[in-house]
Amino acid sequence: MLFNTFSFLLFFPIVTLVYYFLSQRFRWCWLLAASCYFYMFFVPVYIFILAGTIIIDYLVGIYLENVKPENKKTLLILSIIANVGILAVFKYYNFFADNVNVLSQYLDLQSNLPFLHILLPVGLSFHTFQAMSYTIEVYRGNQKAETHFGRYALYVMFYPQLVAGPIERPQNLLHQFREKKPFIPRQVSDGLCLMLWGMFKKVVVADRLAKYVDSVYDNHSMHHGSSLALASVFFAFQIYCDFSGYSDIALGAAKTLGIDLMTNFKRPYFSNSITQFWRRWHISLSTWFRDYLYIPLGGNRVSPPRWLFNIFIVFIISGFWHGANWTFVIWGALHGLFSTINILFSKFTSKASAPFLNIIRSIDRPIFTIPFTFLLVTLAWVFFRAESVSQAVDIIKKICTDFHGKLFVKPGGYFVYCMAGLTILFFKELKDERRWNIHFLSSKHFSVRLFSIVFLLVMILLTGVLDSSQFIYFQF
Amino acid sequence: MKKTWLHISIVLCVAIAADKAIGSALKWLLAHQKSGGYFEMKQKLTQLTPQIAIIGSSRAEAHYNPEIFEKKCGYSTINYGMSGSHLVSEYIALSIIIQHNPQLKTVVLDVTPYELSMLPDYNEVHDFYSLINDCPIVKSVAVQHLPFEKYKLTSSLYVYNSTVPEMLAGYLRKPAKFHKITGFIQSPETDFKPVFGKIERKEIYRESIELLDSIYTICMRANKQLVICVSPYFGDATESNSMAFLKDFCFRKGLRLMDYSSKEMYLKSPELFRDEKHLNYRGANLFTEQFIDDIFVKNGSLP
Repeated sequence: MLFNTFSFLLFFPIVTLVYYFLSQRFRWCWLLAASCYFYMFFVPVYIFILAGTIIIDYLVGIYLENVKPENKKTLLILSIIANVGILAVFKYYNFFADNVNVLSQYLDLQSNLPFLHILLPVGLSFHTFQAMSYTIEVYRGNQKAETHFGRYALYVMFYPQLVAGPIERPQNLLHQFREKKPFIPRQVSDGLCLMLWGMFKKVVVADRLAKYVDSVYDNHSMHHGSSLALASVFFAFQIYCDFSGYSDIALGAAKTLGIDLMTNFKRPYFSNSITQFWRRWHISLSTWFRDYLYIPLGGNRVSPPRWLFNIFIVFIISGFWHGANWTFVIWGALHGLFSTINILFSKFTSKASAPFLNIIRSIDRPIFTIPFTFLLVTLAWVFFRAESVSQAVDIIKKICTDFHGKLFVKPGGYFVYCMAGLTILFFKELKDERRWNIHFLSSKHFSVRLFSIVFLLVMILLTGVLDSSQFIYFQF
Repeated sequence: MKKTWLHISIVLCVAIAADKAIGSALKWLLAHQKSGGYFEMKQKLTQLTPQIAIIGSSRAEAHYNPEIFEKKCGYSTINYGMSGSHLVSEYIALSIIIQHNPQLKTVVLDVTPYELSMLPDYNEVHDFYSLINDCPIVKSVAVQHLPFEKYKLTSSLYVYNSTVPEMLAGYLRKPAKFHKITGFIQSPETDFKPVFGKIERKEIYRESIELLDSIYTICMRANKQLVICVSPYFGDATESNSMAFLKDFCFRKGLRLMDYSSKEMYLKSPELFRDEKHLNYRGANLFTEQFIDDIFVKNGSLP
């Protein structure tokens, strides 16, 4: 079920109302049933795959607490193999087969691996990573194994964050299912407002921008550099509003149930550097990689070359996590490259002479660094959006060389919608970034809240793209 | 708790009031337009009374020149082709035209060689929402085929989704002169580089067949002649399942099928095309002449 559909508009109030009418003893049961229903809206049979991993990780969690210390690692590896194995089959097998076939053709070998004609289970990478974080935390002793199977299943399947995160940690989420959650009007109203804002970002901004991006990227050979550059900038905002919109709806839906999920975005396009960008973008994934990959690899407590290698490899794996295509790997590699350059540059400037340092300081201002970081991020997004590496290279080449063509304009006042949505978004982000003491949806005054809610509702109805289009991150 | 329920009730009441008030204002704005896209669409579909109506997608829009029709056979003709439309839009447009035009005698339905291999998208009905208050067919198609649309339509604002700039622009333009409208779009000559390919054999959809049948039924009920035409396409359509079914369909229903998709004259003349799907202005004029000749000389007179 998608958040931006009429089905969800019926599903959500029923689930929330019944939840508060039920006694605490049965709430987990109700939420689990609702989450199963939510997940089965996509491909019902895939619930069995999810159930399989849930059973494995639940048992591994319990055994991890009861086996001898020397056997713990084996158990953890088994659990990781099971989780990654499912990812490998469903998400990466065809990519692997395709590359092996191309390579064998190139080497004149007679290998021809067959392709699997199966749909990727929705949100597979998200719930797999969430399940893995549970077993790793139990292994590390940071989390007690959950003995209540239903609650553990709910931890993996909790419907607001089931298909596109945030990727939660057991320490943050599991205990909340045990606690009694009374109906707190302010909390529910804040949750609903957050959902409304998320919906605005998705249908008014992201889906509107998507129309231009799709038109241009799908026929990139017909368009000139200016249109491709604008489409690339639009895509940067589209993916942000699409994904952060989803996260806001997820956080809001959980909040209405009295459950706090981790913040996934902190205004990433106000970042001064790529390093800062990753502290603000998809925080639940970047902290996952930090905690379970970067630090075990040695983090920054190793020699400088190894440190840079660690950063680079984490970004490449992060790219590969997004999708089984070389475009995602290159996207990750570019971020790895930018981050390592960022670190090297910081090291270099710390040892630089005074005159040079003055020059650096004069440039190192938000007015320069924010647009520069945005430019780098947008450049990387070209690979993320393109169908193939050659398409991305073509697009970048055209952006850099083809200046003379006419800008592609969509009819029907298209840019008016885009500008309206982006202006509201920019104002809200700037207000939050600068911590201006102006509040709309969270105002203490009911009249201000009322006006803001009605304004957003009218904007969604009048200017939103109401075709229930999918969220970009669902494919991961 | 009481305060919470009071606040929820106030939010709901104000939201509904805003929906109705702004919706009514937009309805008034639309009804009083004298120019602009929506006004033109309404006038074209409900006020013009040609004897021959050409229905179809951007291919119809670019391929049939009504001026040539009028010059050669003397029948008033309007090209109702709509860019990006398929059978759903064509069905709705035709229903509206038939309802409002008693003088109509013949309908020329232009289809692509793969028309029935495309699953109909009933979201196309949204393009007609500016006519929802005047043409009941729009609402009935929407309610019948789109899930939850009945409930969504209880909002007064919903029907004006994505229309406001275009609606306001209508007030800034000069009033349109409708006696000059033909609906024909002249495609420029381009340096079309032909890649001659086969139009794949694909599965045909039951829903598309049903729509085609509905178009046939409304024409028959209103006693209008229906001519189905596959205008030139730069590709080999001989193996298309859609074409095979179309031939069979026309034979069973006793309809005229004018198939130009495999005509060598066009397949050997890429200079007549704007792209593989569309003829340019020169090609369109040539095709219109040939179509009229064929339909008059070879198949008897039109209306």
